[in-house]
Amino acid sequence: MAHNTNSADFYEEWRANQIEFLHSWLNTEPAAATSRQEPLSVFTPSGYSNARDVTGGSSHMQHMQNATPMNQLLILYNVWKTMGQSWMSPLSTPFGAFSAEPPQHTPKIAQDTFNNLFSVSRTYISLLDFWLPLYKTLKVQPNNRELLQSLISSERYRAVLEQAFEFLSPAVLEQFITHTKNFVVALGGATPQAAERLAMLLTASTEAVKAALASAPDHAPALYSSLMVNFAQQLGESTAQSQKPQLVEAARQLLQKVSDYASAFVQYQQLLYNTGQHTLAKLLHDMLESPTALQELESYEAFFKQWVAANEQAYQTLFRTDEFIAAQNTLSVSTVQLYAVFQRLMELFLEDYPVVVRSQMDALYKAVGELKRDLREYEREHTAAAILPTGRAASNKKSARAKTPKNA
Amino acid sequence: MKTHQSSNALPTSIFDNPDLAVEHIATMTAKLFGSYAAMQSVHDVEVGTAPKDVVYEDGKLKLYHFRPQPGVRQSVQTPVLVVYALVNRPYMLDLQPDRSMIRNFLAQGLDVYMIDWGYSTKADRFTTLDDYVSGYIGGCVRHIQRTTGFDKISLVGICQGGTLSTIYSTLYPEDVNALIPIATPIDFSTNEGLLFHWAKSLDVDAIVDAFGVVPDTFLNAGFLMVKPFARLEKYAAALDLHDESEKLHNFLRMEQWIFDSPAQAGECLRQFVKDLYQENRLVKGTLQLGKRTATLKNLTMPLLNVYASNDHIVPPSATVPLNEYAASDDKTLLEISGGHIGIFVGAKAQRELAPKIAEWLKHRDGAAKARQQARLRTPAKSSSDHNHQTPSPSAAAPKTPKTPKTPKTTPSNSQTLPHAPVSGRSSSTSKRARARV
Repeated sequence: MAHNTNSADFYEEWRANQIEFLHSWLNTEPAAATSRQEPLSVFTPSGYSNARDVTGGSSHMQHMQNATPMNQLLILYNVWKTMGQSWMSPLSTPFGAFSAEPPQHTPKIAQDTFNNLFSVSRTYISLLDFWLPLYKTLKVQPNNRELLQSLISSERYRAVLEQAFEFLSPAVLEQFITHTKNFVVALGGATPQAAERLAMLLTASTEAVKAALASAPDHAPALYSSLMVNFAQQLGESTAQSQKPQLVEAARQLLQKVSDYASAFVQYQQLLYNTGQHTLAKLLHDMLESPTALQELESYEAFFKQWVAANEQAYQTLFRTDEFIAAQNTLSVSTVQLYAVFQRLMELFLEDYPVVVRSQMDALYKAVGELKRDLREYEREHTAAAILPTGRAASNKKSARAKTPKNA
Repeated sequence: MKTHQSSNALPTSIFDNPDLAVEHIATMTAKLFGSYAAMQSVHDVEVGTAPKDVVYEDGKLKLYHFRPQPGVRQSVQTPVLVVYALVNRPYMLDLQPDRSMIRNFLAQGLDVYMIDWGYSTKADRFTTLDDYVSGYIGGCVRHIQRTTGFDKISLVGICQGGTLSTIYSTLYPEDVNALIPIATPIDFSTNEGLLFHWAKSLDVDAIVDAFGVVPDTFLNAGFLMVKPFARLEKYAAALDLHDESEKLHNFLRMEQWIFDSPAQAGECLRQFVKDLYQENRLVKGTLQLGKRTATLKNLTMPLLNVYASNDHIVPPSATVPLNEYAASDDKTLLEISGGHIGIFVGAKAQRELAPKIAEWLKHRDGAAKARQQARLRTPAKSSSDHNHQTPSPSAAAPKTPKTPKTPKTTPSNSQTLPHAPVSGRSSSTSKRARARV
């Protein structure tokens, strides 16, 4: 890819290409559309000319109109997903396309910024995906509040909010499962009896929890939480027969903290979801009340701006509530406690090896800090005593000290 | 009662309006590709480019001395030490040549020093608020006193750095010619700013006990949540910058600063949150630093308190009350329109802030200058200077340089000002001190 391409020309060329390609794609035969998966290079500038050959036909629109809403939605998501599997994927992984470039070629901040742009563009498109049917509904059946409410409460809108806040709760919890399982397996070295049984349990439950995360993300954290508590209890029962009881106890605490974290995370997220849904409901209500509202809504850009502004205001209000602050504090405390227990476990694992662990280093840092402080005080007193007998310096010193607060 | 049938009859897909969908998706796709291409053309995001020398170091701390601008006559003799916050990097004040409070200061003829705290590491877990104030700021003040001959310098504190400067001024008022806190939290009893509200109930003990040194990512998560949807708006707008190279670079410089947040020394953060945010001890006169107590009644030096009218991070209700509590007879309150960041990089602030500060300082330069000249006429007698292993804070250090120098009066003098030989560790750092940055 040419690095010095004029950005404006590049932009216009790509914009035109994308419009033409998408129009072409929408007019393909269904069968042709299916075979479209292969030549994803149509999304690249050089491959663009193949778009019509690949997609061909002109009855795809008719097919789309006949399809069920669910199918349409799936197709749409497949489009987006397919795009994500092709050129968006290397873009979203920190400049994967730059792998052949010298590492210092692109500053990290440029890479990070592009990732942020990419993230926001996904939110923008997700909201568009939500807004188009919403807009249509408002035009066709503005008084169908039940339908509007179902749209607001839909998973699709929840997905928009998740992207806006960059929540990855299922992924995060899945990571916890994996790490916890790995940990318990590792624990087997020290407490074989307890670890073996727990590792088996965790392994067996992993697939079930993963499935729950995928199909019912709302309930997955609670399921995971209860599983962790169950494991923790069983681990506690094994403590007495363990070769290293403190290690098993720390492991039990870790599982408990994971559970606490999962609960806190769900509670925190739920507040954000609820606020987002209420905000959208109010925004739509206000629009329906206003004679010109629907016309304003015709512009997606205008809707996006109103949506951002309304949410910003609503979340500012939420953030000041006792309920939110309590949830946020619970989440932050459970996060750091989880971290602390993990650190403690690491030390327990390492204490039999000839390495310096963190708490030992901390003790050293503390001692050094205290020595530096003492030295500073000593120097201050020593210097003051040395200067006092000398002429002007003493005079200055005296004057300076006179202005120093009594308690200083 | 509506039925599912009627609901299903309604269009519910993006394809109900394919032209619109195509338009938006294509536009967004093209913008992303444009941004991708534009980012590839970015080879460097330069920040903090005003010419400067490192003149003193203490651990991770560096003290910069900015070189005067050619042809600019030094209008204020008293050195100015800029103390930045611990939570971000100080190059915000020199973000780019045309958005630089530092360059604006230099253009006004000020002699400018600035502290760069560096990045905290695990070794800083037990670094206290007193270490930052009495130790690090004290060391910098001492170095400037020794090398310039001035027994008092002016402090310009930025945001949290203003709080640190104010505390220093309460403990060591004899070192401070004038105090200029900018966007500085002093009265923490307010709940106007969201961070103030959140910090009141923050369990900082749990956080510091767990992390030791609190990672930047943890703190940034909090900062970014203050305005979560503004982030969307910001990046959506930034997608249009791909064909405007200059604006894109400006945007990247700001991004660089926003996400360049050092981790926080645990004990300092613990005291800052508990004693200031939660207990408002500075205003109450009960803030304890080592064996000393900071009280605003000791602020007897001239005070110029600068605040931003629309500051959502440090609201005016946290900054303005300083002028009520300070004991000084010479107090000025200056409002600059803009927000917490705009006060430093906004176009209007670029025109207004530095000239007003310089003008204010000019009228408070005489006494310090006279003292310096008198001291330079006095033969150096200090026998204790060479005993210093580390720069010592407070007025206890000798004010007379070992080798009397001609005071800086012209740009050329300033430019070639030799750094006074400094003893102990300072001496060892003096070689590095001239390293060009």
